[in-house]
Amino acid sequence: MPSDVKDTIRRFILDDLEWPGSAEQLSDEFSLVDEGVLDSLNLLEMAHFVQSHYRIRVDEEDIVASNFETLTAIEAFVLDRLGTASPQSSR
Amino acid sequence: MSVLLHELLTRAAATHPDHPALIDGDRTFTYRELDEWSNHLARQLRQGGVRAGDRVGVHLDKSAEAVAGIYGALKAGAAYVPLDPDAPARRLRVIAADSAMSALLTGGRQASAREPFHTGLPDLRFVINLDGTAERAGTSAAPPEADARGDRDRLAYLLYTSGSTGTPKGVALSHGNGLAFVEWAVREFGLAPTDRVSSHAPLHFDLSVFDLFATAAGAATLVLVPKRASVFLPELVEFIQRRRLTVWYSVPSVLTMMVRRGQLTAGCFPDLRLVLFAGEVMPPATLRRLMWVAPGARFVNLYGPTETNVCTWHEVRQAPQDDEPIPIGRAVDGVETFVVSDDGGLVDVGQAGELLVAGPTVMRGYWNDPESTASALVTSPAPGAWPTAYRTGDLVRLGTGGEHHFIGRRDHQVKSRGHRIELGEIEAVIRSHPAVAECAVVPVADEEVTNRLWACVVPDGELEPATIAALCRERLPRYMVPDRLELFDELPRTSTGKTDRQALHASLLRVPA
Repeated sequence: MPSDVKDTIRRFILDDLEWPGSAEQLSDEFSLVDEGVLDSLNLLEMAHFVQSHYRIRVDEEDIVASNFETLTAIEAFVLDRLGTASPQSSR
Repeated sequence: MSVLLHELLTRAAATHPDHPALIDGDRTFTYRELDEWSNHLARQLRQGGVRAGDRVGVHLDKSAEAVAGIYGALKAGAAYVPLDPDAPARRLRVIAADSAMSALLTGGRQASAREPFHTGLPDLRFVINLDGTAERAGTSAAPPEADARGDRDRLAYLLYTSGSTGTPKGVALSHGNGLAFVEWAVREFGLAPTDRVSSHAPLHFDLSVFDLFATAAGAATLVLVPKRASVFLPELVEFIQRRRLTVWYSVPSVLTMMVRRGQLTAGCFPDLRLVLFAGEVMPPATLRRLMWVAPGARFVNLYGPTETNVCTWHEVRQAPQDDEPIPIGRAVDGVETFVVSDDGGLVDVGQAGELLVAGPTVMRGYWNDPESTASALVTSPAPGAWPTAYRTGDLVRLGTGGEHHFIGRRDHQVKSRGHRIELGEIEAVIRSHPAVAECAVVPVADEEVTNRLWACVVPDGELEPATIAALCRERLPRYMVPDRLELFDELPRTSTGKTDRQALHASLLRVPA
């Protein structure tokens, strides 16, 4: 189990995407698209990061709002992928 | 009948008062509602002291409020200055000061910015927060009496574009400039109340002039494309289908992303009858795929720098069989085009030269910048109805049928994601860093976004690359922030001592991704 997906993504947004806001603003339900954090330019960067950092598969059809619109959504997506990828998964 | 841009709305409100003018998410506004709302805003602006010829800033996410605000500013006799809602505060302040805007319309997340960009600007008299004004506008709000009418030479909008010397330039366009294009487009494309037109381009981007005003001229319905749909491509596809859009207009890179990532199927857009694209070169492969997806639609390439509006057009009647570039076509009604060689003479058919444009769509000049205006607006090579012509800086070849083929730029301006970018403006920002000795920004071709920008920097002492990125983000809009940064001991030189951009480009292609 990764330590904390949300914190890792928060750091990625601040350090790598260089979003000018603060960690406090990036609450779990903060709308990453409406608030201008993610746009068509850097969404793929985010998807690539999630893919390589967690060694999970992110297909084109996974890059949808329900998986990326908030930190909570990204965490759920990552945990789901990690779960389905592991043999002890019950899904 | 001679009208001004905002009178297109008033006229549609008279003929089609209960027809939907604007759809923003789950809110729909009829022509009467949008007309009255903008009347209300115009009166507020007038009461605050806005007068004919003033500039009014619009700093809002794309929304019904932003559209009503634009019409309100025009009805007050002012010109609107659309501000990039995501631009850094420092750049917005430069634009607000340069345009000397006397009022600012804001709202939503822009109104709650922790450090507003506009504090203490000497010319700014007041700021109006548009949140909730739709409800307060009430019914039967009359337009302000004074200056509602006027001549077509009146300034209508200032669009700020990237400037090579490091500061953005304001392109000053009159009502007549916008109308010359809009009236042609409505005639050529037959916009009607049955049309539902996309509003995809940001309001500070000149494609939005078609969206806003051609839609009103046809009493059609403008459908604002939500930001999230332009980020998540499958949602964009679903949005076009669910809203049953009949007219789509965007930069080609959006269509390319849709083709590559939107999982399109043949016939998936049955309502789409017209697809317009402009702002950069359309990849033939994208067009081929789109024409297969929407076989019933017209596909039209529109060309024109912000300074000229759309000035040439080319309808693609058959899917491209090869990868020959799509022509930019011939002049729209009333516009004159000239292809000029380096010695200033007109070139023959088959030859290449710089494209010059004269006519009713061409700007009045750059705001507050007579020097740039004088070098851009020159004596027409064949003075007829229009004494001056705009030098586009674009190299084109004159085809046998009189159509134009785009070849490239004469200078260091590039396109990325449809935005036009002066590399010199980015380089000026990076050079301002104390630990930068030298810098060149090089475009590297990219299938999806036309160009990615690589900054090549020679450090002067210790240089932390992240500080360059931070500096760019603070000064430049996001689309101008370099995608990658490479450090060099020295930059390659040409025999004349200039930076050898071709050699630099070749060396970047050898850098592992």
